[in-house]
Amino acid sequence: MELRASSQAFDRLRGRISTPLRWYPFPAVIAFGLMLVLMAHLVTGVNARLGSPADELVFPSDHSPDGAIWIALSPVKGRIYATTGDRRVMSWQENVTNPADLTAFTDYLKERVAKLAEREGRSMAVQATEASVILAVDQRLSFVHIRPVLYAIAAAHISNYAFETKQPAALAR
Amino acid sequence: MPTLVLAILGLAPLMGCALRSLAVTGAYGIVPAELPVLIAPPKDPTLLPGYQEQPSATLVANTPTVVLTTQAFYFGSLDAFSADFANVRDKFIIRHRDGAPQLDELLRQMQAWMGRASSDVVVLVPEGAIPMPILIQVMAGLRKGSMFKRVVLSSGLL
Repeated sequence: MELRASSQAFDRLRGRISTPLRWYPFPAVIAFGLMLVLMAHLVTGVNARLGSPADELVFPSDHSPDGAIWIALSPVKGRIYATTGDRRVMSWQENVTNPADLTAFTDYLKERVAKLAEREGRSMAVQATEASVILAVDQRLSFVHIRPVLYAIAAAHISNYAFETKQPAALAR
Repeated sequence: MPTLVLAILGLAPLMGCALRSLAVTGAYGIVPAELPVLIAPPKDPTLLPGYQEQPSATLVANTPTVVLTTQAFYFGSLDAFSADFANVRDKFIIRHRDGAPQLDELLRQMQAWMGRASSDVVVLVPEGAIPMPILIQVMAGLRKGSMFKRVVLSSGLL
């Protein structure tokens, strides 16, 4: 009796193994497809604010324009870190007194302005908001930390800038 | 099999929306400011004849100026905080209450001081120790009323 039952179980198992499973690639296909979708959302038109280290002020303010040069400023262990929208990171001491310490930052701004001017000259079209800087400033910073940044913005011949704030939840809807 | 394919096709946009909600950050706004520039029109023969840059606003001796310290607001004309700095009669003070800047009182008294005169631009000179959240809110408050449209941050005084 037991031998017959085990034989039947073995036959059923052999039948299941020998039968092709037509559905088996689909879990992998679904997972792969969802990863593609997630990567597409993250890579194309990536929002520079994703993973921003700056803890910004929550305050209702004007609508943020598109296309500006976005820079996050945050303090870490006595240094100010500037994270740009294209994921470049520059840093200097908090109590900086020598403008030369911000040379890399100033050169980055000049490089962005030069590329912008070249592109707009070729296309014969200008968007005013592109030649402006949006500063996402961490709440732990004071004006003395931002002053050298403003000097660097002036050295890069940029006259329009703004401080970014996070909209309160009621206004964000 | 067709049911499975249709189910996957129906699931894909749903999961796409869910994943998109993970990738989207919150809503953001800006508090704008400006750096004043010198008018230096370029000599370009390709420009239209008669074309010349015109300033949209100009900083003059009478431009309203607000100095923000950790103790008080001071306001007056730009001249009062530069060439005429030693004169105590052309500057006004509004002390902070319990450490909080009295922005509404500042705007009210500036309105009374300016009278019929108007200016789109206000120069704000903050002390270095002013936290940025306070400064950003003061800048937004100065622009919120009908008095000023543009804020110029300055330094070198404190």
